[in-house]
Amino acid sequence: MAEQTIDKELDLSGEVCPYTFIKSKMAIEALQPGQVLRVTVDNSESAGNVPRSLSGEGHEVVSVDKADKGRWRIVVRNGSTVE
Amino acid sequence: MSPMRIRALATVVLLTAVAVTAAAQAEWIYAAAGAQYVVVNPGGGDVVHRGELSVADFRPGESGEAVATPDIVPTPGGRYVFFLFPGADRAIVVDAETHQPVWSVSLPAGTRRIVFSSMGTSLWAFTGGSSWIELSHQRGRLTDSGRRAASLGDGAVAFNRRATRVYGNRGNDLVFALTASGEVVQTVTLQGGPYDWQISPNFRFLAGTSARQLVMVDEARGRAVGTIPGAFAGGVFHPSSREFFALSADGNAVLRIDAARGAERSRIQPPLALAAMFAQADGTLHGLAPSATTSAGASGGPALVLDLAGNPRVVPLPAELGRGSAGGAGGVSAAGVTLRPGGGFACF
Amino acid sequence: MLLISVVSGLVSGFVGGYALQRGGFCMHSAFRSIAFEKEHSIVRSWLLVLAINIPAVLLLEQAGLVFPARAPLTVFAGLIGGLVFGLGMVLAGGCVSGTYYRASKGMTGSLVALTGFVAGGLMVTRGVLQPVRGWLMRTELSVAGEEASLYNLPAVFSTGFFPGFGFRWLIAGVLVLAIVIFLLRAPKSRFTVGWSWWQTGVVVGLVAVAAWYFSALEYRDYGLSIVQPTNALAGWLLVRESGGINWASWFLLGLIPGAFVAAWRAGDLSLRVPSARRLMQNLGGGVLMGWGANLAGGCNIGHGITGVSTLSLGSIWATAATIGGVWLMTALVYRTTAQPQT
Repeated sequence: MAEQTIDKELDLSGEVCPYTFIKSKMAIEALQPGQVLRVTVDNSESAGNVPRSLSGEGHEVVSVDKADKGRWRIVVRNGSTVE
Repeated sequence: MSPMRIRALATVVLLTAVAVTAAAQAEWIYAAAGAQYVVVNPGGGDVVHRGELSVADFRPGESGEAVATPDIVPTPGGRYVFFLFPGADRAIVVDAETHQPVWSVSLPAGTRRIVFSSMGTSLWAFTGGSSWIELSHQRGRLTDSGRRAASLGDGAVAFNRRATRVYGNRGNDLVFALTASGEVVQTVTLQGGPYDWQISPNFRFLAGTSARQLVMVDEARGRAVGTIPGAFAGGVFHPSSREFFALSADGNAVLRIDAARGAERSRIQPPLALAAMFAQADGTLHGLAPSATTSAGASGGPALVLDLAGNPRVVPLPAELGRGSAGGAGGVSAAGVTLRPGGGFACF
Repeated sequence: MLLISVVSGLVSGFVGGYALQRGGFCMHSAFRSIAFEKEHSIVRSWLLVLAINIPAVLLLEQAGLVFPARAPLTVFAGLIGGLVFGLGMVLAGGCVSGTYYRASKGMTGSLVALTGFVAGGLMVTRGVLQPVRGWLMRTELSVAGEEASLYNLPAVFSTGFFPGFGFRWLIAGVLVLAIVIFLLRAPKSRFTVGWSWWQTGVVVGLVAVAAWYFSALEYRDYGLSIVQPTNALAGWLLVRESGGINWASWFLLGLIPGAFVAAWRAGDLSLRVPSARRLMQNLGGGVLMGWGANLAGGCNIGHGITGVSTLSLGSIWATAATIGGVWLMTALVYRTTAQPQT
């Protein structure tokens, strides 16, 4: 897969829910449709929950990768439709 | 991990478990006759304390007079022990940590029997009249709560966990009634009553004993699960609630009854004729013999029979116990007291 | 006997801790997601646990193996305790069980929250707030003098109604059917880190059933719980009172290594320190959770799983209040977090 262009980086290390969800949700909604956000979280639950939640909100989860020990990178594309 | 390490780990875990569990509770047996009482350590059978309840404390001007044997009623947490003298309208409270009398509390006139609610927050006094009277209880002190419960015929009644239901006789039948209103919510049709009712520690089973038979009732199913013919003089539930030990009326047999089926499992023959039984928190069963007179003819004063169901051991109570009491040497009462630090109720 | 209790407790705890960790079984997230998200996979895990436990508890009771105790419907204690517990959960960043397994994988924020939880609990059970609890617990609604549950509720309208097992199975059947229908409509999940919702639900559900069974062997008529054993262990460690040490205590002691091993195998084991500000918040949240759970008489596990499985109205009420507290605080956090950036 080609290298994904990242429009915004968000580091949520040290955060747990609900902050991981709220902050990532606000960050993705601040982007234009089609733009891409990369979120870094430092625990497995957030790595599971954040993509699930954002995908539930209608955004497209591109990938979830384990970057490092205890670090996950989630790449999400804003999927809101322009009205 | 290597097998040796696992074994070492398992040993450490178990030793810790044993240490934690063993240090859990303090157990005592309180026995009284007249104004005298003794505290016995059920482990060794040794008398750890002898005391006298100062009768003047609760009956001014009548000290020195022969007094009847008190009922011994520990609080659910075991911290205090109430000595109820029939007709005295007062109970003397003994601190179960120091074994010393600390104060006396007044009870409604004519109180014959007292029952604590399981949480220890209230005490129900039966005056023999038309009702049970609720008193609020905290740390060995009482205040009138103003609540009354309907009386349910003859025989001992039992209360559920929060004393919202009362179980007693209506004729031969067992009725479940609301404590507050006396309204009957369930009737279990029975014969051979009236019964003395006892409820299991988990409030699931009701054991009724009468001069004609024993009946076991499953509270949640609202029906009798089994009956055993014979004359009974009460009994005691195992702390697990899974078993009931019934005492025959002559005190010469103890029946082990499966609570869920109401059926006899086995029979124990105590070395002495018993008047009462009580169980420790770990399930050890003890009995009280009013007189150590055996079939062989040897006689003596009152005695405890420790560990009835396992390895019975007769421990004579001090001879001076009961001297000067109205009932003589035979008028003795006893109760097991378990100190449960912290209480440990109410949270899941 | 003690050996069975200790071994089964530790093993169940280990499996439970492993499952909670791998499944990211965070009931705080579950409760929040009901109102704030369109994605409900942890809610599904929870419902699956209930769908397994409601009939299992009934079956064990009918077989005479377990005599379940039900929490009373203490109206104010349940409401206020539940709300405070819910508020605390959001600030602490997880439910009680979640705090345990997160602390086990090196998240210091959760460890701090746990310390607050223990302290808050001691304040209510043995400390200065003891009278408050006593006072709040006085008001209790009972049905025909019994602890209220969905099973005996008809007795409110008809005195003399007695819930037989036929009626109980009918109620349980309807509930389980409704849950199963909801679960079958679950969308396929992608990007699963750790276990899927149904894997987690099945394992936690079976552990909860085992808890009932093994507890009954030592005559403890309740299932899985966290608050009571936390208090019992804290009492033993801090003031050497060992009353209340039982199966649930061994379960809790097994849960910690279980969660640790699960995190270690998933490469999720490292010491993580949030900002000082967040740590303070976690501590405060932990204390609130300790107050709330002990006022309500249970937490997301004792009430939310075990109590709800007995269909006790007291547990359902306390769980509903907890969910309300989570929503309230989440809405508040939403606002305060959203402000500076817009």
